[in-house]
Amino acid sequence: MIPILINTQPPVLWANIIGSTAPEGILHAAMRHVARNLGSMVRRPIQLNNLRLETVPINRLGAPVNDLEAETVAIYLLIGDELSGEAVLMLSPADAMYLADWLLEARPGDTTCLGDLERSALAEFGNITLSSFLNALADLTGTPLRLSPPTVIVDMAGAIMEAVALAAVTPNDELVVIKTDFTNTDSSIGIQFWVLPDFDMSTVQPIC
Amino acid sequence: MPENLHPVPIGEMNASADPGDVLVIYGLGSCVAVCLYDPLARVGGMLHALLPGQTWHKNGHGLPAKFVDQGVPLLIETLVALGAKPFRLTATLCGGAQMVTAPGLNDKLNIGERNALVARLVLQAAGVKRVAQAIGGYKARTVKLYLVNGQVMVKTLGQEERVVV
Repeated sequence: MIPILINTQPPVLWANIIGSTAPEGILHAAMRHVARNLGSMVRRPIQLNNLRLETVPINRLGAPVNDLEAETVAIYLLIGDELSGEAVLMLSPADAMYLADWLLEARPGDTTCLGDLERSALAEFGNITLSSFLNALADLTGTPLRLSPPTVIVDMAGAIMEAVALAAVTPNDELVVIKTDFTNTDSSIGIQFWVLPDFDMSTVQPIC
Repeated sequence: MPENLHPVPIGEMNASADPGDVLVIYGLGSCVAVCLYDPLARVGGMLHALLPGQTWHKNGHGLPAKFVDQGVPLLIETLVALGAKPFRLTATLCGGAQMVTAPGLNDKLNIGERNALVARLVLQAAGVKRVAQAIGGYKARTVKLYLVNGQVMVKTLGQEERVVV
């Protein structure tokens, strides 16, 4: 039975959500919804793997990344309204091109670079994926959620980690990260999905 | 000969008087790298700062090296303890790129420009001469500081490593 949380204050709500990593919890339900949507987009079964919650010090944020210089594709957006935070999908350029082939109905291997068309397809993919997660979360919690437009970054992994840290770092220099990986059945594609709840987004002051 | 690489994580700094050491930040984006070097003492250090200063974050505490305005004086202090003289220090600034651009995101994420600006101001206030920079733009950089001679090398994706100073 999935608990339904309605009209709870945002910090408590995030706390409840991130505390629900058990298989029967809200997070699993939302992530399973994402996996189903991903599968229907690429017309292949997609598995949800190793959903976990981590608290990461900012100076250790890059530690799980083998090569901070490695080219990485990230689809990034901000979560707003009642619950704020950020979400990012990360994948290797090879996986991004493989995914672009699926999304653009091209033959495997046709995509050899990430031009405007491919980036646009990936942004839409990110938008749908992250929307499906947040819509599921909104339904389960009764809380309206809003997304910024997605942006696709293709650059070194270290710089993507910095962008993530910038938006979500807490006064304790830690980031709370909900992580999972999606793979298709033959593991030919792997996507890392991070959600970073922010308990007080207003702590970053606007640039004058 | 293999390089004796010492990575500098986000919100930290590193300093050394060992001429065999190379300080490095991999994939520097909107953060700023402040590389300081005393050519006579052959002492150098690197700061990897995330935000311009405490005032940019309402709950602005934590690692001092996370902030440019606190990290630079701290780095100078550390280098002096290793034998550097402040008046001999030279500075190279790298990073401060705008990695994320999208409607509605710019205000928050154009922090790189502010990081670089504050770094210039803090160095000026400390009387440290800025000799070179690789600042701004939209691309990440890997930055290396060679303690043997103070050389700073920068690499971006798809391009050869180049000497900044």
